[in-house]
Amino acid sequence: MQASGGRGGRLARLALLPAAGLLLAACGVQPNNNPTSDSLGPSLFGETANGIGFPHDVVTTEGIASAGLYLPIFLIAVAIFILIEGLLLFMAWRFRRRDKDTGLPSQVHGHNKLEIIWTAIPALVVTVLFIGSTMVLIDVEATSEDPAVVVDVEGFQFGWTFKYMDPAAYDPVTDKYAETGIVIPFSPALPSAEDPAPVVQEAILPVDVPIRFRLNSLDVIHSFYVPAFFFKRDVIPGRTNEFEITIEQPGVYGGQCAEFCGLSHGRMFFTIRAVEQAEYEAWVAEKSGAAPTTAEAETGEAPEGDTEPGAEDETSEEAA
Amino acid sequence: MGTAGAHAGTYVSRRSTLLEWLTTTDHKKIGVMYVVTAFTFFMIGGVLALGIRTELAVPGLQMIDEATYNQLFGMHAVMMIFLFVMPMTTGLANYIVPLQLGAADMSFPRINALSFWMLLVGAILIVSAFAFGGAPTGWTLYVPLSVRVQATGVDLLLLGLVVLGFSSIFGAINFLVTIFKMRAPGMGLLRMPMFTWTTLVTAVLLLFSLPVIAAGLIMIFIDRNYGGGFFDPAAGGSPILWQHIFWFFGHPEVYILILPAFGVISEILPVFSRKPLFGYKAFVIATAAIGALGFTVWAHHMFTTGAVFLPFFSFFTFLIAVPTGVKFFNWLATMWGGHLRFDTPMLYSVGFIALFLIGGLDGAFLAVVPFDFMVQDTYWVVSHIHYVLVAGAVFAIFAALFYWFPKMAGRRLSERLGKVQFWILFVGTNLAFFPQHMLGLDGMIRRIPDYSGNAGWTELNFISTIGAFLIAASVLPFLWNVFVTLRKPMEHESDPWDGNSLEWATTSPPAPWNCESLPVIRSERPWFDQKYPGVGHGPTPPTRPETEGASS
Amino acid sequence: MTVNTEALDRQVHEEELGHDARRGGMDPALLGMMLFIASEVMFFAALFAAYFNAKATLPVFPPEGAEFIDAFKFPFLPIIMTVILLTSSLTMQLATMRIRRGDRTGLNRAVALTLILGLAFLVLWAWEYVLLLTEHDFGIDSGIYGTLFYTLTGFHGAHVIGGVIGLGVILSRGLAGQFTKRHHVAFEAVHYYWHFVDVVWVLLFLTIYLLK
Repeated sequence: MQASGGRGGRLARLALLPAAGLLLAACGVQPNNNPTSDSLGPSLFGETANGIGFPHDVVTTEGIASAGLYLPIFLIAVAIFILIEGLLLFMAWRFRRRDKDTGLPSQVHGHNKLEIIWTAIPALVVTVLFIGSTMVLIDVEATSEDPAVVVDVEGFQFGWTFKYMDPAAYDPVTDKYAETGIVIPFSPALPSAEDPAPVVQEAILPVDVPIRFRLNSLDVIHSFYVPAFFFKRDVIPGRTNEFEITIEQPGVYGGQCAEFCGLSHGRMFFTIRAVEQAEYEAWVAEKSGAAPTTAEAETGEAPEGDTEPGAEDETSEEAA
Repeated sequence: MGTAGAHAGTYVSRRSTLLEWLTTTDHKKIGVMYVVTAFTFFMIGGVLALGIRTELAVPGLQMIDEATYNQLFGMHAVMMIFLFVMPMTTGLANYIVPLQLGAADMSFPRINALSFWMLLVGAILIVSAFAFGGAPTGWTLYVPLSVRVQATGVDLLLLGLVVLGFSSIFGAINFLVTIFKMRAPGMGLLRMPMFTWTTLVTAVLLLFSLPVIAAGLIMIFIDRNYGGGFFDPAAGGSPILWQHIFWFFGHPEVYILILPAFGVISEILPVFSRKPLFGYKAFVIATAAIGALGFTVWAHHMFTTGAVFLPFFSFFTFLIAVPTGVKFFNWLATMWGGHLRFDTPMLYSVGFIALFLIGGLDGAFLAVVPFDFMVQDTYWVVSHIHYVLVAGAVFAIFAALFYWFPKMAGRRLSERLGKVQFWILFVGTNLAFFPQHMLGLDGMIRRIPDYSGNAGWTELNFISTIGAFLIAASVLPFLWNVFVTLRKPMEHESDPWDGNSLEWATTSPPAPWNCESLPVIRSERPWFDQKYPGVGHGPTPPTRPETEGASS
Repeated sequence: MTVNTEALDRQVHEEELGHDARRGGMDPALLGMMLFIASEVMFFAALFAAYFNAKATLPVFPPEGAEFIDAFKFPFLPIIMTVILLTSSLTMQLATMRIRRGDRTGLNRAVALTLILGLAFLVLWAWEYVLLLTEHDFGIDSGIYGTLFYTLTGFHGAHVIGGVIGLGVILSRGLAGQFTKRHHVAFEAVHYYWHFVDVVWVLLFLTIYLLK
């Protein structure tokens, strides 16, 4: 999968060149390696961003699977594009009306076999595409029994609050996890005269373990969007949207609200820094002070997220 | 073109001409008024688009502030969709459909006039929103935002849209009754020209989708002004409900905008290829199928809400590619082996096929749900909608204007200016919208007034802005073209393109009663049959038996 | 496809011409009214969808704080209103039978009766609103239930007003003797519309007052 996102992507970028023509030539390949010091807030891309025009620098397991769909569909699209544009150009050249064309051409009204063929073949192609994309979709939408990290994300006009929750303390009655007390707020990083480069907070997350995001909105609809995750999910008042991802590479990943939400929608950023397990645990320990809760200790022991169901039940009962 | 009548008739004074236009119930005059109104809003909406593109040309907020920007993109969409494309296709259909049916007028001429004047009332309400705080909600009016925005402009927009909705419902009823009841003798449903067929399907879509959005708009109005709780989660309401209502209308709306364009292309290609439309019945079936499928895919605009059953809507969205593909192949087969003449209407039609294809292909990507998760609400979607509506609807509208202008005004527009305009528009459209694919794939979301200078998006945005200005520039030769052509004396050429359908069988411009006599109608090309007896489906039997099975 | 001779061809053409010239089927104005009613059905479908959406998604419906409006409590207004509207549909049907037999006086009497029933419905409708607003403190801003109740019944009531106006027009034209056995399209249109308004009420009654 990674190969198709990397080498395949580069190959396909070449394939795009004739289609995009002068546009790509004009824009070229843009290095994009200044993630945080921009006056507007974080850039949306990791430090290794290397191109435009194709999915690139996707860092989650789910995102890589999704981005892998791009190339096959792109190739089908290019084939259809070349077929139809080619036919148009050919006909414009071959069948252009000439002086000798005084009579009428052959009056062909239709051909039922052809109609059936060009109904059936596209139907077949889209069915295959549907099956392929739905199989990936099922993987992307899958959630694990017990995620290693649970983050409640609250969207509001115009910022975000990331609340780290206790993955072992789920209360099925209220459908909520217990809070750990670690909260990372993001509010619009407004560059102003007093503060030309506002400090940008970062939400720290571990790599290689399933992370569950639970999205809620305090006012209007927002959308949680991290391009490097190849994913977005709407943040809707009165509704909890959940999804899980596994980040595969450490790095800094910018995110932004993707659903128009009012005046400063364009400045509703957040930043996620993915780090190795040990570093994450150290950060959690530092954030939650000297006395980490039992659940965090458990998570520390079992970084792969395979907490015992029994332990979870106990904590739930305590919480209830 | 509003002055076309002044040149057309022998009116005594200017005042009586004005009065004539204000009180007319003639479908042709109403059609022209629709077209002129729509084109005016095309230019206003275009100026708004230039505002957006100018702000986005380079990073930073140079020209306008966030509050102004947030009004621009919503109003741009509302004007282009509700005040340009819809009235434009309604106006063309108003003028052409009764002529193609061999009817003297629409079924309900006075309701027809009412529809037009309601359009003006709605347009005035929507434009006046600018003076009352604007409507910074986007054209999608997503709740709770549109309920919470404190601006009278939003209420005016809601009222204006409801008025437009009822104008279109009355229009749709009028078209349906006209098509079902006013066809000339011999004009069976399967002998109607494709433009009339697409108008019929469009009218059905309007009839069933507009009341739904009208109800939804009224719900927002109640929530805003009377303390209603339809969309307020705290009161037990549901924000997702609005999205269902909106897109249940919104997706058929896309076909309402594009089906008449398909109809126009299906009229022009046969005429300029001198061949019949390939697979007429397949076309009719495909049109009906697109209309029906249009009601099954609304939630593909809601893939990222986490509140819809994804595979169902994904599947039907993919499925729409099939009838659309049938249309493409039939268009190509219509041209195949023909004697193609590249006058401006044909140029625009071929341009339509070439570029609408891109809008179709990048739309197929969006049916792939995991990919949609990435590019939903990004410039990929912006690019898709503009390839569909600019390269699609706008190209087809210009094709139609060049094609039917001689019928409406009695003289042809300049071919030279038309071709200059086409190439500017062709290049501009691609420059403006192709780079947006890459921006969207790179994560540039839509409806933001600004972006980071470090994102690597500056060049692509700048190219896009240049393209937008080229599109705007392409309107100038057209205006000049109309202006100089209307100053010329009338040629009264009744059939300048060697047309197929009944509108070419009468004078240009047609008399108030449309036509003195009609050809015998035996196929979808009655006028062609009369001009070329023995070739098509005229009274003499066809000589090639193999063509009979597919076409009879 | 053997219809190739001129004579047969002309015959086919004349048949087609005859078919269209007879203009069989529905009168254009009636067809227009039917299409308008079809669009109205979609309008109410959206409102009903909002109702059922709330009913399906909320844990309790009506939500806490709102009281289910019981049709079987004094003064039984919804039931009386239902009886009135159903009766008015019958009198409207009676009017149709009368004019189809050419009985103009019968038509006028039946339309007048329908008009009175329609007005009676409107009075009770207003009375119910007053009762709910004053005695139960239940308004359009009383949460989703109040919003749905007033929007659904309000738009239905507005349609009854439209129907009553139509009945008034029909009655005045009937009294002027403008309808005959063969020519009474305007009456037929109002007749369809009135039945539609009645059907919407029955659905409303079932949904709002009966379906808990």
